[in-house]
Order: sequence, then C-alpha cells, then structure tokens
Amino acid sequence: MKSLRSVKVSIFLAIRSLWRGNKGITLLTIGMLALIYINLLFLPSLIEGLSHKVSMQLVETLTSNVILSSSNTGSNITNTDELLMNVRSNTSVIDATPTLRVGTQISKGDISNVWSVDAIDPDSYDEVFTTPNNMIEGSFLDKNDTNSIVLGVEIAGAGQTDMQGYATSLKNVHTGDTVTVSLLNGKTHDFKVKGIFDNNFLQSDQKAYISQNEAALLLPITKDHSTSIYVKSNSIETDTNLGDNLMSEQTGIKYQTSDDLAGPVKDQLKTFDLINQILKIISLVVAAITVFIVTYVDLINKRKQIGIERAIGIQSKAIIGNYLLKSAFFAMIGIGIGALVFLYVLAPIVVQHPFKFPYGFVTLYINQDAMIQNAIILATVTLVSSLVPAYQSVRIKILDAIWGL
Amino acid sequence: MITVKNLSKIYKMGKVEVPALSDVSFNIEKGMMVGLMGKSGSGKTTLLRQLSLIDRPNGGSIIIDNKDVIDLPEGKRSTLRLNTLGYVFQEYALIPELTAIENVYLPAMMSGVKSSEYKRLAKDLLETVGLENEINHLPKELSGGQQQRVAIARAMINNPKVIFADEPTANLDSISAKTVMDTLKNLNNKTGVTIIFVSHDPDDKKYAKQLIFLKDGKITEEYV
Repeated sequence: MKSLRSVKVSIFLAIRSLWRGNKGITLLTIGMLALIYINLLFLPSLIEGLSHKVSMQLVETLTSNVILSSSNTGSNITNTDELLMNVRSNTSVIDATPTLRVGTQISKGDISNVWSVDAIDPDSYDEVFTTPNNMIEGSFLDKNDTNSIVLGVEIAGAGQTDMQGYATSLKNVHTGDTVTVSLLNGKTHDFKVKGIFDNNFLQSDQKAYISQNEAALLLPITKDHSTSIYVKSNSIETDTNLGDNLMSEQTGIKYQTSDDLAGPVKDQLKTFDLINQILKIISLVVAAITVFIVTYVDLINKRKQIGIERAIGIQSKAIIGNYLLKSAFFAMIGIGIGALVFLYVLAPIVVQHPFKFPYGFVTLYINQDAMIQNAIILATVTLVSSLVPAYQSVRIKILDAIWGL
Repeated sequence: MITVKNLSKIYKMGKVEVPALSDVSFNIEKGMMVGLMGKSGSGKTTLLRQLSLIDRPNGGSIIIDNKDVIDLPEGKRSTLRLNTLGYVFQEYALIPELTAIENVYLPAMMSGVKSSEYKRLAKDLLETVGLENEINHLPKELSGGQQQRVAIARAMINNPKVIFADEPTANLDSISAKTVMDTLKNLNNKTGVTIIFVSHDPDDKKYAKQLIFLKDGKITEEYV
C-alpha cells in the first residue's frame, strides 16, 4: 500500500512538474535526447546501408549467391547443360547462368589493359544479374548478337574523366567504337561496342561480355563448357546450405558463396563494423554523461525543494519516482521525436541526396531491430542517469538539502 | 506530550566543533503553544529542528508520546513527520509547480487518505486560514503572508499532534505577520494541536502559553 501511495505521489508530482515546470528545460532535454537518438542511429545506419549496398552489389552484379566452378584449378566445367538443369530444378534457385572466360586483354588504339572478357548467355544472365539494367550507353547483349561486346565503364572510360579508374581505362570508348580483344587461343578479334554499363561498383564495372554464340564461333571448344555457373537463390535458405545441397549430387565441382568472394571488401566491412561498434559505445557514453549532467543540474536546482518534500514527510521512493517518471517521459518523447525525424526527415533526404562511395550510392539502412535496441539502451541510460543523482539527493541530510549544501 | 532530556547538538565546521545545544531539558504538555525565544545564534532553530526530526542531535533524548524518537531509522522518522508532526518553514517553502490546494493535500495523499477526502480537507483548511478564494493559485501568485498560511494549512492536513514553526513571520510585513500568528493561535485554540514556534520578536511572546528562552545553546528561562 505504501509503495502504491509512493507511485501515486510520484505520478502526481511528475505530471504537475512537467505541466507547470520550466518548459525551456523540458524542451531542451527532449531535444537533446532526440538528437542523441538520431546520433545513435545515423552512423550505424549509414554503415549498415553501405554494408548492404556492397553485399547487394556483389550479389547482383558480380558473384550472385553461389558460384559453381571446377574443383580442378584452371579447368572448366564440361557438363554445363546437365549441371544447369540440375541446379535449376532446386526449389531455392531462381535461375542460374554460365560464363566462360574467353579473353584477357582489351585494347583501343594505343591504349591497352588486362581485363577479363566473359562469354555469357544474355537471357539467363539477365535473370541472375542486374547489369543489363545499368546501361549508360547503348544496350545489353542479345542471344543472337555476334561481333558485339558490352564494356564496363571502368574499361570504356566513356570520357568520364572524374571516374576513379579513368587513368587505367580505355579513356574515351563509346557505343559504336571498335575494340580489340586478345582471346585465350592467342588470337585477337575486333568487336563493336554495343553498350557500356555502370553498376557503380568498381569490381563489376571492370568486366566485359560477349555472347555465347559469338564465343562458339571464335573458340570452337566452348560447347557445354563454362568457367563458372552463377546461381541466384530466393534466399529461403542460406547460401552455404544451398551450395551444400547443389553439391550433394555433383563430383568435380566446388562452390563458393558471395561471402567467400567478398575478399578485401569483406575486410573493409569488418573494419566499418568495428568503427560502428566503437562509435556506438562512445555515443552511449556521451549520451549517459549528457543526460546525467542535465538531470544533475536540474536536481541541484531542486535540492531545496527535495529537502522540503522530505521534511513534510514525502517518502524518498516517491521523490526518486518523480524524477524517474520525468526521465522516462523525456526519453519516450525524445526517442519518439528522434525516430520520427530519422524515419521521415533524415532518411528521405538521404534517399534524395545519397552518399557516394566507391561501391555506389549509399542510403541509410533502416533496421527496426537496431532502432528498438538503441531506444531501449538510451531509455535505460536516461533512467540510470537520473536515478543516480536523484538517489544522491534523497540520501543527504534534509538540512543540507534545504540549505543547498 | 514531548519530553526533552539532556539534548545536545554539535556542528562541525571543518576541524572545529561548535556546540549549538548543551544539555537542554524541558517538558511540553499537549495543546500548548510554545515559543522558543532568543537572539540570533542562541540555538532556538537548532532545537526546533531536533524536535521536528529534521536533524539528529548528538546526545540526549526526545520523547514524543512516550516514545524515544532519537534513534529511529529515517523511514520511521519520515512517517512520523508525515502523520504526527507538521512543519512551517521560515521561507514559505511551497512546491512552486503545485497550486495552493495541491500543496496542502500532498502530505495527505502520501499518507493514504482518499482523494475526495483530502481534497475536501484541504479546501476546509484553506478556508480556515482565510484563503478560500486562492485555492487554485500557484505560489508565485500569492503574497508572502498567503504562502505562509498555505504552509500552515499543509502542516495541518494530516491532523498532526504537533506543529513546528520556524520563525514563520520572519519574512513578512507586520500585518501579514500578525495574520499568520493569529492563524496559528486560532488553530491551537480550536483544534488543540500543540504548536512550537521559534521567534526572536519579543512581541510574539503574547501568543505563547509556554515560553522557553535560549542563550548560547542553553535554556536560560522557562515560563508556563
């Protein structure tokens, strides 16, 4: 009963204090908590957005989910059609597309560099990768195209002098130009550039493609051969599980997931994640100290009042409860406003004006679980930061509190 | 009602010990209006704070209703302050965010009186102290005298056995001071509540039924 009365008095004092107290301090505290919450969300969301962007770019333009290749290094898969049929029969597979390495060097006039040229099946390639949707010039390959090549912007250059890899590109190749490819059989062949794609992803923009039909004409042994088969999954199961399932009936084939092929990108993401964790801890410590200072200053100013409340018999629990309830209110409103600003102001602005990274344009990744987790952490920090000075204030002698000692 | 035996209080100012009360003993009967008189620094406010359980003495005993309250834990002292004792501070000491009636009924709320009951009681008490038209005013909207009468009503809300008033007129003009002292006197006469007040104003002697004079922390004279 006594506790219930304390709660009742706490609620009464908290409501009156919020309603009739200093509105400036209330707004300042709420505003500060909103900003702290946004700060807690912003950088992790950006890094997570970057991480998702990189993963998405990897899967959608470079590696797909699972990559099958010959278990003998340097050898091709020689039963591609049969393997493709088996792979496509798996319910977790959306589609699969084979590629065959046919060339290693591309030149235009005096400029030349080493880039891989793959022969692809344009129809299934379009089902597995998004590259055909990212043409900045011309169009992507058709199944019956011959003598045509599509180039990544990092190869073509396309006159984009501000591009990261412009210096090592062919500099100013455009649709309709002719480039020379050094084929694996030691011969060279001229191709007309049908289109240039820009995935905004350095690794996949350093690729060039010709059609399987064209490759069959240039390299007679390509029938049923492929260097890799790229498999796009519906993500019902993990890439590793899918790889294991696909391998269960195969011999002489190995699989890798996009994660396995992430390489240096993966290391960068790990570093970003580490930075993210460190910044999150720093943000929380700053939040705790800030909330503590604001609550502490507020309590110091109200120490006399607390002394009087204690002198007239108000239980310490009720006094502490009053400050905890006010902090809970500040946290709730501050976090609520912070979440609304983040979701409906900041995130849309970043969508309109995304951050440009070497992996493409990155927006904020809204992770609801992380938002809830951060809200709980910030609310807890706020409550603890107000509990400590409130507890201290009811522990000191009543006279010291009244006299402001 | 209240028996004080050999009460002593020493304040420590760094390494220096300053005796504020030395070997103070006296009795107060129920229903008395007691004036603790003396010059500034005589120990009268210190004595009041020990009696009202706001401070703890260094020695002696204070017996209220046959119970020694000196060594009670803070929780029980708080309950006693809430239900048995009332306190009127020198400065009006109202909670600024509460209206007059809310300030008055706050202790009753804490002691578990029903909502309708404590609101009625608070209203009656504010009428008793002449503030029936100011019940919904915030402290900043009241004069010093009015605030002090609200504080008296608050001290009365839990029907205490004793009210302690620490120089309740110190910050008031003479007219307001008279009103406050008359209010305390009337409450004492009507309800029989024991009132112990501190004053350095010799004119306040007329309100007291018992006078205790202090000098240098010791009782020099006592009249009943």
